[in-house]
Amino acid sequence: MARISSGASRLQVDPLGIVGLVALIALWWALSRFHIVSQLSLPTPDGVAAAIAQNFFSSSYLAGYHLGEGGLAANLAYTIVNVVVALIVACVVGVTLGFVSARNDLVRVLADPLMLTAGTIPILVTAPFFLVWFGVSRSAQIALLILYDATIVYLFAQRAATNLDPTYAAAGRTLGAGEGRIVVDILLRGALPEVFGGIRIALAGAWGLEAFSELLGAPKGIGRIIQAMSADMDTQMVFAAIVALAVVAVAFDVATGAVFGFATRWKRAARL
Amino acid sequence: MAEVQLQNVRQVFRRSGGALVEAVADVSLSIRDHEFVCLIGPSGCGKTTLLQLVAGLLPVTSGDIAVDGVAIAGPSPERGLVFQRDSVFPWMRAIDNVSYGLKCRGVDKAKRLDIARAYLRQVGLADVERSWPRELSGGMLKRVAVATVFANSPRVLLMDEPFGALDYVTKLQLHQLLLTLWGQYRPTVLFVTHDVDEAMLLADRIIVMKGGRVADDRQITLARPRTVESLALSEAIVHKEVLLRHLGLGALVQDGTAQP
Repeated sequence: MARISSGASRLQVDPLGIVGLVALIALWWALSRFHIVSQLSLPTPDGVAAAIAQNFFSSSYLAGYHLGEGGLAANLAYTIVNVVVALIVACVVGVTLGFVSARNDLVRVLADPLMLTAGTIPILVTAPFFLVWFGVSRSAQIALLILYDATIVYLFAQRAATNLDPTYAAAGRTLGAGEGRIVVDILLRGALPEVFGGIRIALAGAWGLEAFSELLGAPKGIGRIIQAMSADMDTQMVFAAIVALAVVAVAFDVATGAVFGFATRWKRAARL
Repeated sequence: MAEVQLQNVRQVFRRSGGALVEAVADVSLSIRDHEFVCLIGPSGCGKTTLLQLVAGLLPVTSGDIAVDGVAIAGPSPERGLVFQRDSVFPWMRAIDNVSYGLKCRGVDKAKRLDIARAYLRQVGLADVERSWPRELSGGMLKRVAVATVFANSPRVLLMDEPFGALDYVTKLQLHQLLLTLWGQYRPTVLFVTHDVDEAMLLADRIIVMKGGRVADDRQITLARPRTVESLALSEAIVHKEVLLRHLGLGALVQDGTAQP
């Protein structure tokens, strides 16, 4: 296991993961280079890399499709902002409601059907309604993502708070902790590992959902690029947009994993 | 001063089936300042419930509990509690656990860390102050729990079978540690245990509970410091025989003279 030191935390990179990634790219390269699959359906990796490089910071080509002058980067930024804003709002709503519902039966009875129903309805089915309600704007995508993210974070937060041994809160009270400290120092910190797990799952799914919701109607974004390029059969740019989004998604997952890992490093301490 | 008075204390639970259970039934006690009292009795006799009532973690159904004449109102750092289960916060380092009560009371960081270090030194854990609880053994965790409570300077120390899950040697070491700290800081102690020998080794007074009521109240006048030999003295043997009979272990008592 190779370790990359990064300040107080350590980022662990599994060599097998790198081998798998290299093998996938090699297979992709072989399939397209030797025309086993038509390059119209599967462009070459180097062609995709070149398309990313040429269109990253500015692109008259993308501007011609009314996708802005800022190239892939500006469209990526639009997508990233939507995902991050929605995740932050969903974390506040989901964690608060999850914790309160774990401690208050009335809130639980009221919130559970709402959140569980939201989690049961296929999110793609609800997407067109958000377009009708919010129009072709950022709000539609953010609202859809909040619904998706908040449901997951709510369930994880509620389970984490329910599973936390009540002895900790009782110990806090006998040591003089008030309700605020009980929530922040005990409930929140004790529940963090499970809540973080929920946030990472929500984040992983949010990228694809954001791109999909952009397909339905958005001023720009990676989903809009994929939509516009697909219509003109420019599979190289479609792949370029997908690869750029995948790299960002993986980078966010690695970064959040490192931050969350540092915040819950007590969980990884060697057990005596 | 920390005299604990319980007057006609009752605690009634409603089981999930709806049946009412009287866990503590009309208990009146007066525990003197600095006294070390052990509560002993069979499982389900109400001793842990009584301890939680004194801690303020449960409200009494009826009756009054007061410390130095002042009725208690909920949990308070003046009544520290060492739990049977692990209560050391796993997400805080040992020193942060020990200083947590002081932090809650607004003691500034440098001062509370100094105090916490002093208590960690007293319980023999000076070298693991930066360790996470997962890195500590069961006995070390109990030491952290004891240091945490003492660092908060409680006037009343409540202990709910704190050493029940520990091995024999660790338990005896912690008895010595507890007696040393009690001798130094002199809080009034209410200590719940199932272990007759533990009670005999620690207590000034042993209160036996049965069916939620006080079934016996015995003064233990064995000289301190007590040793294994102390428990072999005739006074200790009489107490032990009576306590074993209370616990339904009369068959273990050969001499039939000692009666509850």
